[in-house]
Amino acid sequence: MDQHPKANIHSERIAGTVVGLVAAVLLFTTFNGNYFTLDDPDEVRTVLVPRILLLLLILFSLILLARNAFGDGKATAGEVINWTDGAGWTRMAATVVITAAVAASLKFVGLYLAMVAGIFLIGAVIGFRRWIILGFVSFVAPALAWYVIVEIAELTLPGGALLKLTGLG
Amino acid sequence: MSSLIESLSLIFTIQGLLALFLGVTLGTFVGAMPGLGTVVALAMMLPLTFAIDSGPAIVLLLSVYVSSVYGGSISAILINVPGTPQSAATVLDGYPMTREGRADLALGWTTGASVFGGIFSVIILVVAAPTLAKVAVNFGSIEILALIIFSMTTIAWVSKGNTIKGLMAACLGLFLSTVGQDNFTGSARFDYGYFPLTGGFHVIPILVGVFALSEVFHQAFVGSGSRIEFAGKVGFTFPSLGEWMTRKKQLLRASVIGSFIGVLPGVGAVTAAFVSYADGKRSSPNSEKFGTGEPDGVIASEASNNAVTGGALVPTLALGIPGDGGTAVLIGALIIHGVTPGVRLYIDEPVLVNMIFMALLLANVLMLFVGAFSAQIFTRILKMPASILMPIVMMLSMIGAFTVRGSMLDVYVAVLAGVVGLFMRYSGFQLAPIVIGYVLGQPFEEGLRRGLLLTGDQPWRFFESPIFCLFIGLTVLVLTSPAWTKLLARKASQNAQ
Repeated sequence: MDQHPKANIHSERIAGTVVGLVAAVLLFTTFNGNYFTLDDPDEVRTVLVPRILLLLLILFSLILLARNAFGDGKATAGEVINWTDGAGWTRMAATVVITAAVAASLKFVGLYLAMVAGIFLIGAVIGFRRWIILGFVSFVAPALAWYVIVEIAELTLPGGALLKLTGLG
Repeated sequence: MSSLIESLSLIFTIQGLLALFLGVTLGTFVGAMPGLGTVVALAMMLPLTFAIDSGPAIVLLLSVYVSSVYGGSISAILINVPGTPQSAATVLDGYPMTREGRADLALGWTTGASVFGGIFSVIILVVAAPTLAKVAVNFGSIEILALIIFSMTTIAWVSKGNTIKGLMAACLGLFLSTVGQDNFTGSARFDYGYFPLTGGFHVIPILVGVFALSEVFHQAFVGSGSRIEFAGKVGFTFPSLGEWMTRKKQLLRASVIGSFIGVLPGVGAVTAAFVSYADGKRSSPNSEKFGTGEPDGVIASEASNNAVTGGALVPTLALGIPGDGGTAVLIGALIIHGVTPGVRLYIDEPVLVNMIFMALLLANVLMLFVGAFSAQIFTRILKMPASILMPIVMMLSMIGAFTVRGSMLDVYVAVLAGVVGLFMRYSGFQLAPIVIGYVLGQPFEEGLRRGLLLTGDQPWRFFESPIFCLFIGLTVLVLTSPAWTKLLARKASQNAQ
């Protein structure tokens, strides 16, 4: 697997720009009046440390961008990956979307159903092709996790629709 | 003596012993799975500890902490892929031994060296931490602030990649800790009217996102559907006492290096393993065989990386300053269980401190038996492809994030942290400074604001404290080190000419 230096330079530029911009916006919001009352210095102190940290983040982002633009052209090493692997990016994007969908649906469909779907889909996306084993793991692993967390550890997990349907929720 | 007996009685209960056994077994297992590592192992086990008493819970987490470092060596030896970054140097001689059909012996050397290094570092911890805690009693808010600044700078400085990215990651972690209610005034910060944000972020969702979920996304990119093939048959052979005696110097040197490096904040087990490996290559009578399957190479790497565990706990327990990602999680976990690491811990909780020492000792001893009896099992487990392991990691990560506070916000934060963590990995950022920054965020803010209150908003008066001056001086020294090391090298070359 090759490391593509240009992609690394770009990712460094994007990181510097995004962190710098987000920090600037957050810094701006600390002056919006919420934290400022003339008669109460404590209210100003409330955002003193965040302001220092956000200023530092902006400063470091600028240094990163300046070094990236005027340096020797070599970005520092990130994870060694094949940046031109289109299928890899597709698999990753699909996994991120499935994970986000699982997180979003937890509250409504419950942990068990969301995880059955999540495990099956992510396993398939990453490349597991033994469908019976994948199906078995998808159903058994969340059930086992549910049993350990809810029955043994006596903690609460989102039950969702399944528990409501069965009258247990 | 009575506190020692009391602490032993906390461990030698059914729950305590079960926690010890489960911790060592699961820690070794997760450590052996490439890509997961110590931090993920701890984050995954944390929800399990909520349902048990704080004593066994701490025993479980400590066992996971020490054994996951050892677990990394199993996959390093068997499949040429270190389970944890700490075992990267073990690959150099461990895997050649496997290719020669000596995997059983390599596992024996690595297990013995890990156990020795671990126990050696616990002895260092028992001796050094209380002394450090006694010194640290003199630390006020200003001194703690300076110590945190120094620690964060060191952590950023040793970040693979570069210092600026390390500092950015540390500042990001520090900033994340300021979201939510201000402990001094009660005002909500950066909540933007969204009520769940007033509680701030919790360390566990950030942790599982940044470390575990980013690994799931990365493995999806790599696409690992294939099974791992082994070079040979696997068993376990423990070298004889005579064989150990011929290599005792190597074992001791590696343990000393690991323990010393462990005490330094942020340097960590990866550096320790490679420094020790380089030292072994220089000092071993078999140095010419290094890299071809020499047991001294395995010993140098494994004794030192396991010795880091006890060393890293010295500042963690005595000062509340985590040395690496693993100890940062441990601090978070201890706080959840009502234990605040730091100076007061030694004064207020002597039984608990002794229990921690004993648990570490026992976990290291138990590693020997788990290693010996589970070589065959691990061989089978390691054949599990990432495409089936990673979805399970995703599930455990989400459960871990949710169970901390029973909040859906934590699940969303974990997913977001996973995406951010992946992007940071690909951009050459180190992830550990984020978590360490987050853990140190609150004491950092308290130190600064209390200091300002004490000095009447005159920060220059901080320099009236000699300890503050010392740590700030050291920080400047660390930050300017590239310049003065270059200057010294130039002078040395001029003198040579």
